[in-house]
Amino acid sequence: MTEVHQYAIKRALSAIPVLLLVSFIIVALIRLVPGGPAVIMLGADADPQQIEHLRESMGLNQPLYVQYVEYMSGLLRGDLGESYMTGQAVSAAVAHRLPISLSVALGGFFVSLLIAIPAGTISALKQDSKSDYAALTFGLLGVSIPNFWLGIMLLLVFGVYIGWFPVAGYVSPLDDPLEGIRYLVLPSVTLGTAMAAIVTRMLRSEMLEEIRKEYSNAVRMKGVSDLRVLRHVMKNAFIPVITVIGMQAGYLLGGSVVIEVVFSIPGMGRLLIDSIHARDYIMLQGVVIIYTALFILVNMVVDITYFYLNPKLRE
Amino acid sequence: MAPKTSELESRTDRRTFLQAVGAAGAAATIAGCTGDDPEETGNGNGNGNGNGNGNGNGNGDTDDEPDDPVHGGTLRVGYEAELTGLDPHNISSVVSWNAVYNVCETLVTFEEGETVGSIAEDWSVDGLVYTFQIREGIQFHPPVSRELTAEDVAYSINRMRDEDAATDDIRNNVAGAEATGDYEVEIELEDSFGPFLPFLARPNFVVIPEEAVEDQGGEIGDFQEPVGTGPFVFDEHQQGDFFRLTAFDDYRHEEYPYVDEVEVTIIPDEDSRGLAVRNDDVDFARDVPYRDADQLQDGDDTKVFLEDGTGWAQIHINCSREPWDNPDVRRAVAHVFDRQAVVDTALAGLGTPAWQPYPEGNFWHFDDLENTRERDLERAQEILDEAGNPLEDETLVIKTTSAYPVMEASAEILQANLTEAGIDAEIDNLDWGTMLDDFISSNFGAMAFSVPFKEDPDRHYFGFLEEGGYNKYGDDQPDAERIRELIVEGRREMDQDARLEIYEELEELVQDHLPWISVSHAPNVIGLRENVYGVEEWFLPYNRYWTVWLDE
Amino acid sequence: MRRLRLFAVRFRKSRLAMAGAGVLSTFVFIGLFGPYLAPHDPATMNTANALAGPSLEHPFGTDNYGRDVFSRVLAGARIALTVAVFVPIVSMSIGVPVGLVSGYFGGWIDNVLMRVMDSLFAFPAILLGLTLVAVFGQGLRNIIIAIGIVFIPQFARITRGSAASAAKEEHVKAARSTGASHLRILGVHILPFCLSAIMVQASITAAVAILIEASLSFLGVGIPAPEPSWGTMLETAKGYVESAWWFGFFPGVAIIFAVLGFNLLGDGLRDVLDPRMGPSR
Repeated sequence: MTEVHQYAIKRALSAIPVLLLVSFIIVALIRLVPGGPAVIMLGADADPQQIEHLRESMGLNQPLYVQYVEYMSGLLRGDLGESYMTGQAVSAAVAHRLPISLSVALGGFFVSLLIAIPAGTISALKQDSKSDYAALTFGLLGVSIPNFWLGIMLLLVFGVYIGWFPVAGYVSPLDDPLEGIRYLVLPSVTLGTAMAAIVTRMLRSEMLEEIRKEYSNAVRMKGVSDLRVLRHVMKNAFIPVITVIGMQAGYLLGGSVVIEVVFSIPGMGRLLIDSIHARDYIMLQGVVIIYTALFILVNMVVDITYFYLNPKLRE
Repeated sequence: MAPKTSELESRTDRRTFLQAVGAAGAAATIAGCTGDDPEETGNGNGNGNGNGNGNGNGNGDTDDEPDDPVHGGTLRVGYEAELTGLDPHNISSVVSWNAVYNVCETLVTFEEGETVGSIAEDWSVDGLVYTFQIREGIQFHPPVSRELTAEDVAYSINRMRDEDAATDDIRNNVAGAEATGDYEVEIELEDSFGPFLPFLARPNFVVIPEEAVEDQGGEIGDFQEPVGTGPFVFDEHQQGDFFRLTAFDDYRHEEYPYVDEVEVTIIPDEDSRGLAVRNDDVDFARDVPYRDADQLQDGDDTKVFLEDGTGWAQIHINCSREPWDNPDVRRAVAHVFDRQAVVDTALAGLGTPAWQPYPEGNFWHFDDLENTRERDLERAQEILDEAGNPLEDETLVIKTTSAYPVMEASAEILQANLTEAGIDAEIDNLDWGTMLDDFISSNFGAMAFSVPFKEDPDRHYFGFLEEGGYNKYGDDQPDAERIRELIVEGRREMDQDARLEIYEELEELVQDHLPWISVSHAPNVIGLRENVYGVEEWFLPYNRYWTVWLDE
Repeated sequence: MRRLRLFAVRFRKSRLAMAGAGVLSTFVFIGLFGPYLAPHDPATMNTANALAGPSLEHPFGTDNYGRDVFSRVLAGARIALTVAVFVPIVSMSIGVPVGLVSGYFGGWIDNVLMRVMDSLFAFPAILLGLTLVAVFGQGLRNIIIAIGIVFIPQFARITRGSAASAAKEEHVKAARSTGASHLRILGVHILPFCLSAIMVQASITAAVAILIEASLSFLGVGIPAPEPSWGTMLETAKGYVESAWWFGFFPGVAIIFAVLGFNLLGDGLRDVLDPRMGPSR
C-alpha cells in the first residue's frame, strides 16, 4: 500500500463523520422550517382537522431523532422518501435532474478553464503588460458581477437581440449534441465567468512565484530552453491551483441553482427552489443532502489529487 | 424579438382591445398575424363564463380559420405544476383536476352556465332524495371495457364519503347512495343543500369502476391510473416530466376527441411556458404571464386565448383585530384603494376591477349593488373624520406574497394609496406557505389574497363568514346575525332565483361592512400555436382537450 | 502606533487600496445620504407611467409600478451597506473566538471545533444560505444572520492559522510562564497578531455577502418586495427584460460597483498588510 492509498483511505474515513453531522444538521434544520407542507397541499379550503390528519400520515408528528434514524436507514438503502406534493420518489427526481445540473456545472467548469488558463499564463509571462492589466481587471470584475445579472444580460444580448442562442430551456447533449450544446452555451459562460476570474488570479500569482524561483535556477543551469522552463513552471503552479479549482466545485454547484432559475433549466436547483416554496421537506432535504454529499466528495477527490501531485506533502 | 419603438403605443391599443373583448364576455382567440386593428380580429362571438361557457361557438373567431375540424395529431400541452396525484377522489390541485376532467365524467356538468346531465340523463328531487336516471350505453375505458351502471355511480359517491377522500362537501352533506335499478340511483342528503347539483358537476365527483380501483390497491389514493368514461384514456404518467392521454375510440360523442393524443409536460416557470409556445415546444400552454400576452399575440406563429374571470382577488380583513374591527376603517380603506392600478400592473390590463365575487354576465353577478365603494378619497376622509380619526396613531399592516403577482400588486398599490392619503401602512411580504398558514388560522389584519372561480356563491361566502370563519366576523359586527342567517338560508334554499336574492342581500351587507374588499377579476391567459383551433372555455377553469383540433 | 503609521503610508501608496477606498466611500455616502439625493420618493407609484425608458426626469427609467428606478437604486445602497457591515460582524463574533481557542489550545478542542467548522464548510454557500433562510424566514435581519452563519468557518480557519503561529512566538511563551491568564494572552498577545488577516477576510466577506443577499433576493427567498433591495428589483425585472432593459440593467451595475469596492479594498489590504501574499484566494 502506497502513501497515497493510505492517505486516500484516511481522507475518505474522515469524510464520514462530516457527512453524518451534516445530514443531521440538514434534517434538524428542515424540521424547523415554519409552516408545513400539509397546508400547501390542501390549500385555502382546508380545515384544521384535515391538516392535522395529513401531518400525522406524513410522520411529521414524530420526535426528531426518530425521523432522523428512519430517514438515514432509508438513505442507506437508496430510499430518500417520497415527495409530499407529488408522491414522486425523491431518488427518482434526483436521478432525473442531477445529470442536467451536472452538465451545466461541467459546462461552467470548461468555460472557466478555457478562459483562465490562457489568461493566467499570459498575464504572468507578460507581467505589467496591457494583457496583464486586462487579465487583472477581468479577475476583479469577474468576482464582482452577480452571476444571475450577467445571465440576464447575456440572455438579453445573445438570446433576444442577436438570437444566437435559445433564451431558456434545456436539451440533453446526449439526445441531440448540437442542440444540447447550443442550450448550454449561455448558462456555462454565465456560470464559468466568476470561477474563471478566481482561477486566473490564482494561476497568475502562483506562476509569478514559480517563475521567480525557476528564473534563478535557469540562470544557473544554462542551456535549458524557455519552453521547458515554462512547462516546469506551469506544472508546479498548477498544484495549488487544483485546490482552488476543487473549492470552486462548491461554487459551481451552488451557482447552478441561480443559473437554472435564470435560464429556466429543469435541474436540481429548480427542484430545490420549488421544494422550498412548496415546503416539500422530504424533497428539499434529499436535494440538499445530495448537493452537500457531492460537494464533500469533490473536495475529497481534490485533496487526494493534491496529495498525489505534491511530493512535499508525501514526505 | 427586439422591442419596437412603437411598442408602448401598440401595447396600449392591444390592451384596450383585449379588455374590450374581455368585457363583452367573449372567449377571445386572437390571431397574431392580423395586426393592431381591432376591427379585423375582434369578432369573438363566444360567450363569457358567466352565462354560458363552452357553448361550442367560442372557438376560432378569426377570418383565416379553416372551416371544418380536422382529426388527428398530438396536442402538446404545458402545465404550470406537477400533478398532485390522479386518484380523482383524493386530489387537491387544479392541474390534477384538469387531467381527470378529460378522462372521467361526472353525473352532471355545466353547459352555458347551467347544470345539465352528463352521465345522468335526468333527475328528480323528492325532499332530501335525488333520483338520477343514468344514460344507457356509456362505456368504460379499457381494461374495464364494460357498460357503466347505477352500481358504479353508487360506488363512486360512497367512496367519496371515506374519511381520507378530499371531498368534504360530499362527506358532510350526503347520507348515502344506492342503486335502485340498472340505470337508476338514489342519493340521499343529510340536510337540504341548495348548491348540491353544481357541486356534483365539479370534476372531482367522477364515476369510476370498482374493479379498476381494487386492481390498483383499493384504498383512497391508490387509484393513480384513472379509468373512466371520458373522451381520453389515461396512458402514462412520468412524474416530474410528462403524462399522456390517448383518444377513447368508444366515446359516446362520436366526433370527439379530435386529436389522437394529448401529451402534457410540466413547465413550472411561467416565463418558460410562454417561451415554450414561441419555440414550438408546446401547442397549448396554461397560465402564461399576463405581460407576455401581447407578445404571443403579435407573434406570427402564436396566439392567445383568454379564459375570463378565472380568478377573484380580494383584500381579506380580520374583523376582530384592531384597528380593522372598526367598520369605518374598512370602509375608508375601500374608498382609498385604486383597483384599476392593480389591473394595469399585475394583470397587464387584461382583467377588470371587481366589487363582488362574480364578473359581469355571470348568473351570480349582481347588477344593481347600491353601495359599491369606488375610489373616492374625499369620502374616505369624511368617514374617518366622522369616526373620530381612528387611524391617527395606527400603522396598518397588509400581508401579501410575491408568489402571485396579483396579490403582491394589490398590497403594494393599496399601501401606496394609503400613504398618499396620509394613512400609515406597511407591507408584510411572506412566502406562500406562511401566508396560507396565516390565512387559514386568520392570523392577519389585512391580507391580499386571490381565489379561483367557484361554481356557487356558497363556496365563497360560507367559509369566509360562518362563525369563526376566516374573516372572524364576530357578533359585535354590524348585521352579524343577519349575515349568518343569510349564509345558511342560501345553502338550504333549493330555488336558484330565490338564492340569487339571498346572496344579493348578503353582498349588499358585505358592501356596507366590508369583511373583505374585492379587488379584481383576472382571466387566465392560454398561449397557443397558430394552428390550434377549437379551444373552448368551460364554466370552471379547466381545459377540455376533446374540442381542440390541429390544422397541420 | 508606529505600525499604524506604516500601515497608513503603505495604504496610500497602494493603488488598489486607494481605488477601493474611493469606490467604497462613494458607496457609503450614498448608503447614508441616498434618500436625500434621490430625485423621487422610491416608493411613490405612478402606474400611468410604468416601464418608461430613461429620461431626464427618470435617468434610470421607471419600474413596473412606475416608480423611479434611480431613486430605488439609491435607496437599495442602504440595504447593501447594512448587509456588508453586519454580515462580517455576525461571522466574526463567532468565527474569531472559535479560531482563537482552536489555534491557541490545539489538541482535542481544536479537533472538535474544526470538525464542526468543516461540516458547516461542507455546504456550498448559496445552499446553506437558502436552507437557513427557509428556516429563519425572509427579511433583512434574518438574511444577515443566515449569511453571517455561512461565513463563520472562514473566519475560524483564518484566525486559527494566525493564532497557532502566534502561540509559538517567544513573547507568548514568556507571557504564559509569568502566569498570565489564557483570556489575557488571547486578548493581548494573540488577537492583535491575527487582526490583519481578519481584516482582509472581512473585506472579502462583505463583497460576497452583498452578492449572496442579491442572489437570495433574486431567487425570491431574500428581502421581500417592495423593499428596494437590488436583488429583489432584479427578480421582478427578470420578467421584463425584453420590454424594459433599464429596469434590470441599473440595479445590476449598482451591485457590481459595491462589490468591486470591497474586492479592491480586500486586495489592497492584502498587499499592504502582507505584500508576499499577492492577489490570490
